[in-house]
Amino acid sequence: MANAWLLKPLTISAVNSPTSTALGALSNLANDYSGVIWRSATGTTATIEFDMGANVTIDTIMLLGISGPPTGAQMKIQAATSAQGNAFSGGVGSGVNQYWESTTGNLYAGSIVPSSGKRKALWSAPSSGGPSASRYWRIVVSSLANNYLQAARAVLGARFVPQRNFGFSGAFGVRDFGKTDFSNRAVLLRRRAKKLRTLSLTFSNAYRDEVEATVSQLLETLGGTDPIGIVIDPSSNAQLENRMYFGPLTGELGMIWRTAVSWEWRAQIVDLI
Amino acid sequence: MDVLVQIDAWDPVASAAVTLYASSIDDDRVCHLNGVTWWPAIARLPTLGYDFFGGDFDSSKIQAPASGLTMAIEPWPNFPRYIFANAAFQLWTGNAGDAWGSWTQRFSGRVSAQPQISDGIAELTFGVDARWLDAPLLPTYAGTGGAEGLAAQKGQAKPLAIGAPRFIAGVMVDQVNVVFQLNSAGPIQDVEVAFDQLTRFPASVGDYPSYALLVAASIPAGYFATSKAAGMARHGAPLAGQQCYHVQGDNGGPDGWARLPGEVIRRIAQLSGGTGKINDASLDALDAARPWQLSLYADQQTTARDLVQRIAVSVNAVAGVTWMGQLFAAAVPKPQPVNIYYGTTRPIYGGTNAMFNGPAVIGGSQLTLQADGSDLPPIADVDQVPIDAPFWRLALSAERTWTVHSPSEVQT
Repeated sequence: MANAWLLKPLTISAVNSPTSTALGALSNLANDYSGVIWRSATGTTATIEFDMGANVTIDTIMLLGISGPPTGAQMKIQAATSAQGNAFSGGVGSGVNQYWESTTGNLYAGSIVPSSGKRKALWSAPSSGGPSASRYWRIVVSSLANNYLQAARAVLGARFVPQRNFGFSGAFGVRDFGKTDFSNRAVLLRRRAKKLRTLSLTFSNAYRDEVEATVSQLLETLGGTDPIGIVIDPSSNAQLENRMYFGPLTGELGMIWRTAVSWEWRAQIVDLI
Repeated sequence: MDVLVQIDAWDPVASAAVTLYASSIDDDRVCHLNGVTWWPAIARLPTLGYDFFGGDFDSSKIQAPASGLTMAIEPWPNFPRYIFANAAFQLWTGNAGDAWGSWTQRFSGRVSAQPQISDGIAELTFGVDARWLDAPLLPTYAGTGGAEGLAAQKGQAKPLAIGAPRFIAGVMVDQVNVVFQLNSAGPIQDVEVAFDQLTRFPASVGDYPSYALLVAASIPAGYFATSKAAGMARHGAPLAGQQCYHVQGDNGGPDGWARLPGEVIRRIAQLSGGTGKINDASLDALDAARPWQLSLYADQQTTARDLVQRIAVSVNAVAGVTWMGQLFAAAVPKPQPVNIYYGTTRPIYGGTNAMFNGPAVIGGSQLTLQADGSDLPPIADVDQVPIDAPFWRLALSAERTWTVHSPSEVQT
């Protein structure tokens, strides 16, 4: 088991695509509504290009709320700096119009389909030979077999991996926004609504330097309103999509100086997508 | 059931219309229906209802449905600056996964006022747009002479005669030629009788297709002629006293000579600018349920809202405006019982398996509510509430005399 990843989404300046749009706007990939999506036209390949506004370091990309692509769909990432431009026409390289390109892998992060029916993709930069800080990032989905690509949210950022992982007592739950009640004659009175997953992780032995340098800034910038991406175990696994969460932090956002050498903080979120 | 709302607001900074699409659910099967993006922003759904039964059968005005909802403004950064007062408001309901064609529009109206915005939540109130019912119903004289009356009549209401009103006075528009206008909405069916001090004139000596031809006609003293097309009557000589007429009134509407309650309501609504905003099926049903001939005469300014309500009440019907902004009228049905079963385990009334009948038992049950959950819809709670003694009503009918003559106005 690998340590969890925590991913603060970077701000996306613009979203473009050489692929035709069938439904929704490309900018929908930058908002947090799972129902407000972008859908490509049907074809064999769909490309989404993110303009981050400046060269930024990105080592992790999540594409959430996917529907449409078949099981065998593939994905690769391309990145180009401001100097290289967003033409992506010169092939792989470091010159103008050239770009960095990842290897091609499966689009879907796992093989077990989440209960929502919406799939997830996860890309992480290789430990060596990864892209430099770049402004333009592309997700290229291939082998669509004349299907469309639909996605709700793209999350791009530099992940934070705690040196000491969360401890046992991690809680995995469901928040049902519906309501069930009974009359005083035990008649079922029910209102069905959406059900979202919840996650509560406790990092009980975080290093002080790590808390001060990263965790505190993470909590201070995200607060309880902006979402965060969490992968509780990024190891390749059929259940990997169920191990990915994206949503706002809830509950107490503090950090406790628990012992002389360790801090404790919690990540509790409601999974939006 | 999910809800979609469209609001057509105005952006005063951009000086352009802006349309807001909001959804009650964050679901891709709903948020992109009909080719637009419905932002999942509705925080509290509106409650739609009708409130038109006064209980005491008074002639209170027709009530237009109104409600409110709250919605998050996050999807629209410029929301606070938009102008919402009087913005068109439409609401649909449906189920996620249904095609747009399967969604049903439930409401069409106007936002009542600029919303209150607090903590990123806007509270909007909206209602059906029924302002056309309040427009002045009767046109007014220009006071330019001829058919438009004397200068002193400028701004005065022109008369409206519907059905077969008796003893109506009309309005003199031409003193020189002794011309009276009986109806201004359109042609009339006939003038049955003309009176001077309640003394009958002989039958009309002719009918002329316009005011000009009526004035140009030669009419002997002691006789009268008509211009049904202009809704006018002209006498051959000045009258000795108070005039009045038995008129078969307006026949310019789609029903021709409107006689039945629904026909009369439809004609009034049309004259008030309600074309396209009338639930014709309900008016036809009212005519079938209340096939009684009515008459109406108005020579003082009034509104369709007032007249329609008076007509509906007179035949024990309810008039209202639907959520879609359509005027309707429905006959008040006979009371029907609703049975409420308390179940076998909690008997009331002397230990019997109780059944609670509604008011007067006329006809069979329309609905059975089972508090023990053995039937749908599920019943949350059952309470007995205090109720006043039932209202009662005595219906009278008569052929109304619209102009009541004093003894001095009657020729002896």
